[in-house]
Amino acid sequence: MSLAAAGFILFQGAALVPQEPAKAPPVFGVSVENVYIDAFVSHRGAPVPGLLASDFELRDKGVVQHLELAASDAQPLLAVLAFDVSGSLEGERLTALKAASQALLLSLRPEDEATLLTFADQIDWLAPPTTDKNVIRRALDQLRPGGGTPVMDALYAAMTLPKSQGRTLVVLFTDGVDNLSWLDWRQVQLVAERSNALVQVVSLQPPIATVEGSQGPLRFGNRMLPAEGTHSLEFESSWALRRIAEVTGGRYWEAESLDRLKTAFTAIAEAMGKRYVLRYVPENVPRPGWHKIELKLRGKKGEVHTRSGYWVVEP
Amino acid sequence: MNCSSARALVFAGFCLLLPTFTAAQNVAAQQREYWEIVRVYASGERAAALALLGGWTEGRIRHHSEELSDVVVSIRKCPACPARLAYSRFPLKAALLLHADREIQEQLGQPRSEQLTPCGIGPHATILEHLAAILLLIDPNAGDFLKPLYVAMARQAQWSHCSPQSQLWARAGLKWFPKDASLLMALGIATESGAFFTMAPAPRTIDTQPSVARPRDAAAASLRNQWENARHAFEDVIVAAPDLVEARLRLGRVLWRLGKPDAARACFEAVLGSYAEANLQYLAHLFLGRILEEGRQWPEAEEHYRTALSMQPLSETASVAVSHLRFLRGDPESAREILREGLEAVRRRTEFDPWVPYLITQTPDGEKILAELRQAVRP
Repeated sequence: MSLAAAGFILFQGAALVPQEPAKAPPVFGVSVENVYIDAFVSHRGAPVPGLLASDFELRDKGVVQHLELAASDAQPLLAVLAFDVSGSLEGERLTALKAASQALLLSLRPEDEATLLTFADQIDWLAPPTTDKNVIRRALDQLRPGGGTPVMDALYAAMTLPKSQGRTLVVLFTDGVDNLSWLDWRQVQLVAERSNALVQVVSLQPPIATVEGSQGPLRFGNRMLPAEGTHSLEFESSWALRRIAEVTGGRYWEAESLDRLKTAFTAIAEAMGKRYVLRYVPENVPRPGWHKIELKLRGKKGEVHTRSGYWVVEP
Repeated sequence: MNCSSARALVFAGFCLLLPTFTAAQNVAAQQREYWEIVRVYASGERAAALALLGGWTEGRIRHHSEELSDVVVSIRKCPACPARLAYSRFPLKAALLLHADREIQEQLGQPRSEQLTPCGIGPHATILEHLAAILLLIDPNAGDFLKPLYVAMARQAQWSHCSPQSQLWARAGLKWFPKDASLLMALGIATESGAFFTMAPAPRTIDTQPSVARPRDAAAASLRNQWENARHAFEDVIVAAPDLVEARLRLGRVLWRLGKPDAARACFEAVLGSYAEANLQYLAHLFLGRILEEGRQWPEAEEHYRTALSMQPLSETASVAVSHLRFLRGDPESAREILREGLEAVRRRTEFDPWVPYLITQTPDGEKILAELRQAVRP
């Protein structure tokens, strides 16, 4: 029996089978029997502890499934730190990022792994996955900012490069707007839907209103706003990162100040320890294709964060 | 009239004329000082000349600009008058370069990061315009100097991440030389770059409330307009210089952004069928691969991506493109391996991947052109 489990959905025990679908969307080549759903429940911003399997209702392709609660700490965690080290990170921003990273590393268990990727004019995989967190700390100390911001390419690399047998948490930090990527958000979202990673995006950006007063054209993160009066709109860059994070069950954290950066990283670390791993065997649903997941609480108050679905193809 | 009253009249006349005479003397002195600064600049003492010009007050700069504007009018009205002769003796080209340099100093600095960069158009740009007009009136070969000067300014603005200013400089040159391919190209690049660096609004499928949808649609239309302008600029370049392969490559990319993949594909295939330089061929393979990928012609797309990677083995962009396509084709293992090898290889790079300068269009060409022009005006 091949097992599917994940940060949200983790497919384990079966490799992805190379597929060449002529006109069909690409899918994972696994036969799913057990599906593991990783979920986070919050109420008024605080995690909701002590829930039972019976407190959840899950629909797979619209069909209600029988759930069991699995131990959330049974699987080791791989924390992928993907950090923007473009020129704008110079100075106190870099110091704050290092401090925030420490908070996250401290929250990891000894058996959990961490890895560090940075991106500016190029993507650097500075430290491969290791349980020795000091390796990551030393790599963080070496960071030197400078260059552009290929956010989407880096997120793709963060989801693709590290190999994990357990839960994968990608923490993407950026303080700018993508200006260098080959891949666009649609391509990266497709990868996110098919990956087993939980993506958390932490953004540290100047509020657009402060940019209005600058000389010359209205500019933001080296990109300009298209027309007068559009500064209240949401733009593709942040919207796309939010969408990608949410597709995997993660969140888009907008840190308004350097202090809030550490708060965001700490909250991400704490949330990892307060997640629910739900297990079920899909019943009465066709296996191949996209499985849309709807997860909600029964008779309890709270907001459920989980991935929007998963792909399955017949082996 | 007795003798004393005649003396009084002469004295009164002298008193009346004195301020005018003094003002004229001042103007002449300022003129001499100005052209002396220009000569210092032309001799190669660039920093000293720029410092002297930098000491001018706003009022003096404005006054100088107005004077030059009057000179343009007077030479236009009377080509045979003394002003023309006087200005034909002045080192006008050096003056143009001096103000170009000062404008760069004040408005187009080195970007400190990839983030906010304030830039604009200053008073020295206006002076440069007046001097260009004078040069065009008295020198039949002025174009040989002015065309590269305007291209250099457009490039310099581009280098400073100031696409709107770059467009303005290119348009300023095109006002005098409307069919010049290099200026049209500079305009096209600045317009394309401006469109690329304009943030796209979130898709209209999310949050369809009219209060959000309307400004979002307006923003999307404005952005599309920028891409259309870039398209027209590159089409004009191709009319002016059909052999300029880079214009065809860029036109293809713009057409792709405008949702015209077939027309874009024809452009990229034309580039690949030409004797374009290697970097342009590399980009054409990448761009063509993207169109094929979106058309779900994955084997053909991969072939182009792999060709691009073979041309630039240290390219992160090509590695990402191949890797992502392998992922799409259901082979995440090779996707991972190709990406890992690609990122390793990138560490050995000593120059930018051609994708980066294409996108950022940040080249040192502007300064290179200016250096050549400076050399040419040295006595």
